[in-house]
Amino acid sequence: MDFRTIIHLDLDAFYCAVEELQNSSLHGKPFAVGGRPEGRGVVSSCSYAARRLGIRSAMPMARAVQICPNLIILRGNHREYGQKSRQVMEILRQTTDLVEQISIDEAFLDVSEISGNKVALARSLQSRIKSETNLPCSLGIATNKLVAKIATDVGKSSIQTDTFPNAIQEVPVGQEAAFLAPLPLETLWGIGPKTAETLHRMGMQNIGDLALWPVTDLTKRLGKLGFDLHARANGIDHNPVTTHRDPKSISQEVTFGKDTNHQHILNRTLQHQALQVSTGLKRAGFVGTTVKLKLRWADFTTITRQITLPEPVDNERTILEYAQKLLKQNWNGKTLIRLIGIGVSGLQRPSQQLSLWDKVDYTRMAQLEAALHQVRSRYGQDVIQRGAQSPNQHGLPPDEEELSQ
Amino acid sequence: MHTNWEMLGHQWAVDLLKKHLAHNHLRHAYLFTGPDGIGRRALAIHFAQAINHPERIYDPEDTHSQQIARMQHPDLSIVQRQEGDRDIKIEAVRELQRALSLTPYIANSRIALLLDFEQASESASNALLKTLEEPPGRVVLMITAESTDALLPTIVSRCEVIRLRPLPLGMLADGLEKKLKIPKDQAKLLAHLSNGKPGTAIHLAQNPARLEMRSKALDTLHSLLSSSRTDRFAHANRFYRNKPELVDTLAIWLTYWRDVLQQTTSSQTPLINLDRAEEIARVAQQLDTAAAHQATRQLETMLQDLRTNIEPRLAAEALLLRLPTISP
Amino acid sequence: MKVSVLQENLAHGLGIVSRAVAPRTTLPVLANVLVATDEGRLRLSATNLEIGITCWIGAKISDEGSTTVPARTFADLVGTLPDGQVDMDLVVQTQTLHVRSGTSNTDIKCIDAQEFPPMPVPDLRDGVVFNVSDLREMIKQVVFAASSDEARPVLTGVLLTVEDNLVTMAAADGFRLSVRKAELSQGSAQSMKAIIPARALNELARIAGDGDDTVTMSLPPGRGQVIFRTDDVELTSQLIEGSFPDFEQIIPVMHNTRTVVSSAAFLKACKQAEIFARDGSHIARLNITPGDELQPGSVEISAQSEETGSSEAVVEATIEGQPVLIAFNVRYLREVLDVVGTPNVALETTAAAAPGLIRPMGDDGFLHVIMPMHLGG
Repeated sequence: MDFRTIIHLDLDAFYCAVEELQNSSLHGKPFAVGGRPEGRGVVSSCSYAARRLGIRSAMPMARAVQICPNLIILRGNHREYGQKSRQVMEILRQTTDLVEQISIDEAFLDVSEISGNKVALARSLQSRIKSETNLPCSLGIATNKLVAKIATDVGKSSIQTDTFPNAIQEVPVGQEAAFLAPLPLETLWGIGPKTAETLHRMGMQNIGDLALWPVTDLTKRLGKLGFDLHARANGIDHNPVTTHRDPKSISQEVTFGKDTNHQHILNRTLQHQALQVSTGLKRAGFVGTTVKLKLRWADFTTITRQITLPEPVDNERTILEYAQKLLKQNWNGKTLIRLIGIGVSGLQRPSQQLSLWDKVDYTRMAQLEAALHQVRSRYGQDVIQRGAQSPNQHGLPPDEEELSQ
Repeated sequence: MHTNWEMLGHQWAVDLLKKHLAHNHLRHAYLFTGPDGIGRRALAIHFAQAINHPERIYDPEDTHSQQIARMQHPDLSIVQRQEGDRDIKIEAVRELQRALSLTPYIANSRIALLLDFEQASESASNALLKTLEEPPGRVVLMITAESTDALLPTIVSRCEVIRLRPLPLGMLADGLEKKLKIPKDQAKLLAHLSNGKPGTAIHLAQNPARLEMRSKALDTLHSLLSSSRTDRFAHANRFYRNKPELVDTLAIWLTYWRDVLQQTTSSQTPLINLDRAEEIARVAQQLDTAAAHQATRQLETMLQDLRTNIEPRLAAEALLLRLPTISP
Repeated sequence: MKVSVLQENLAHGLGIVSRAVAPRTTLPVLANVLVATDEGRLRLSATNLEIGITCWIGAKISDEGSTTVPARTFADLVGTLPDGQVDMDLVVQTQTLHVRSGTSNTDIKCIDAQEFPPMPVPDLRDGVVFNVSDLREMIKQVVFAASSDEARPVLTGVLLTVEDNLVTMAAADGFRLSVRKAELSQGSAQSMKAIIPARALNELARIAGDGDDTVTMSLPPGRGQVIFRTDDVELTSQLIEGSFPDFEQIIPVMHNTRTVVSSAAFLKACKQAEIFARDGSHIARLNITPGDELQPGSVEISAQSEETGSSEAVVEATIEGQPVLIAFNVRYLREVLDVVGTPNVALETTAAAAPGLIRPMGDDGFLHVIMPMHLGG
């Protein structure tokens, strides 16, 4: 069977749910987390009771108070939210490695390789999160990320309640397009008000209309977006669940539809992953010193092997070369492989040749350096860090524009 | 002397360039556009000759001018697509940049002639942009292209654009007669055949073989129109073998059918094949506009198809069998 | 034209001028060597319109005249001729050069000398006179720093200025700058300033003879050319148009650390590091640690490569100022140390991201600036 199972999980009215945990008297009442109505504050999150009254997140708080004068407004406790979110994500990661967190309260899980009934799996995740964190959540189950996410939203909105929906919505294999068909066009990723307007003017009402529209015409009118939208409207989405869960590494892995020991397929997959990891590194502006290869055999045994390089890399060719080397060392060429993945860790900022003609005031730089040195030798190394060296900033040197202009 | 730099037509362009010379307002870059055979390169070269003449006038007897005319002058760099290449390579532009960075060898200015630059690769275009943005001191760039649309807008915007258009046929005929001493009738025919493009007209005048080939092609076409299916089939079987010749012939036939088509619609557009006016009128009498239109379309389609490597033999057969039939 | 020359002289002369031959250009005559009688000698000239080289050889001249001979054919032929006399005889009408030596008889088709681009005639009275070995040393110390990127043409040249009796050569690419100053034994009446293509200077260093010969340089006003002339060789070059960036402003005026090392030991350490650095980013890290009462200062030079491994070398040094860890493209370090002529060299640094300055100890005429590499991490 050649399809994936993706679960999308969304913590229901997350901030509000956390607030209710702190203060049970909020239960069932209209309240919102966000800025002050007197200022230009907006609603970050609102309880289901507030939603029933027509309050939405991102709405100006002043407007929310107009709708519901007795709305309870909370400033929010973001430290607490972060902690709760980490707890939930940890539970998800205990279920599978393939977790892609997309925001503080949302994640995708690729559960293709977990056997058994997927609805039951979702149900058990939901109850585990409830019992361990006391937080409600809704889940969507489908063969891809796109449909799973929409399933969650549809599931939630189908339950009309003043408290948390706790929805679970499954879209069975093959039913994706039919499931999407009656939904409004804006439901799809990539359809903003402007594109929606264009499509409406072409005579389309819902996703079903878009799915049936000739793809050649869409492509002609909207270019690549037209092509992509047509695929999405038909419930097609090949985006993998991407698991760069921490900034310590950038990785890509894939579970094969069918276990394989086919050299060609493995090589192709590695090539693709090396490119993706390399692109990811470059986009994030990192180079890394360790290349990892992850393998899962047909019997679910998983191994991770790594090589540490003397010079950090970000280029596809080198990453691929080492991944292939690791595969060769750790695989007999016969055993069926279920999952393969490449990662690069030991991330750091790349070295760069500085340019002679940049207009930098070296005299000032020298004076600063001398002053720093004095302070350090008097008080120790770690007293002062320049902005560019602070851990959260990327102190890349001035670029080399000057010469190329 | 040489008020028109010995050009046929395009007087306005010559006047404009002369003004730039006289007022010492030379631009760093000129872009000459227009269809093949219109005289873009000739004008650029004559302009280059004037720029590098010690007195900044056009004088074909001057040594520099003669070297420039032969495109063999130490301060003239030429960039064009090399035979066998798909496009103008970036290396050619790089080499040009190196040459242009140096002081002129003997003349007033270094001149770069970039021919048919619509054929430049993307990287070559971008590299040239660099030079246009920061032109070296004593350098004049002259670019020729079919139209401004075929170039990067950023290139076009940095050039003085000289758009050359076909000449009125009467003016061209007159020029051919007076300046090239071509007999009146012949001059008129050449003006028509070239569709007002002086370069093409002069080329035809200097290559009688080309004119002869045209006559033969049109004779063949005319006789095929009254031939049997078998004869047409036999001809198609000889005809398809030499592709360049096939393309040439079809292009000539196409001018003929356009003439016929215009006759059937009583259009005022001048005939191209002026020397066959009567014959064309007779053919047009026997056909309606739809038939002439269909024949024209077929030729256009086949010419296009030949570029995409269709099977020439089948196409030639289909074409010949479908051409209309007339009584001789 | 009818002349007799010695085979070895002719071969030598062709060898010198051949570097300026341009075999593939739109001007066919540039693939030829101009052969002309010139005041009792035979003149051989070639030009690619950027660089022109002329060499005069001794000849017995029976009839004056000139022509241009296909360079490749001529050189190949002369290479096969026996030692001894070569007689050459031009049939002007057909531009055929008849070449006879021993038992060999050859006819070469030539191009009329009229077609050959005119070569400038220098006025050597206003010239600047260099000692060949000094000039060659100057060229060697700056020319390697010139850029090879045509996108910024002025940096592909060497800036040469003459002011009174002080001559300065400077060259820079995006990352380093080399400046050499020297005093002339005879002052120059006029100030000169020109950007000379680096290739021209490389050629000059190659052909300028040796020892105590002198070279006269002249810049004919308004010609955009520079001419270098020795007794029997002349090189002309077109100049590069444009203005050279103000390099004085990028020479650091102060430093926090001054490291004095043995040039040879430093060079050796850099060469060792380069073996490992060249596969990757060419980075060599210099860990500069001042000494104290007990031990001398040291520079640890390290490099590593994915494939080859890593290398570390420690060079003893006299260090004033604070310790610093700085990284350079090791090729740049090696190239400048290669041309430093003194036993010791000073490296002056201010900070890890500020330019380093290299000065030979005891030779104030030369300095070199290198931008460091910014280390990741």
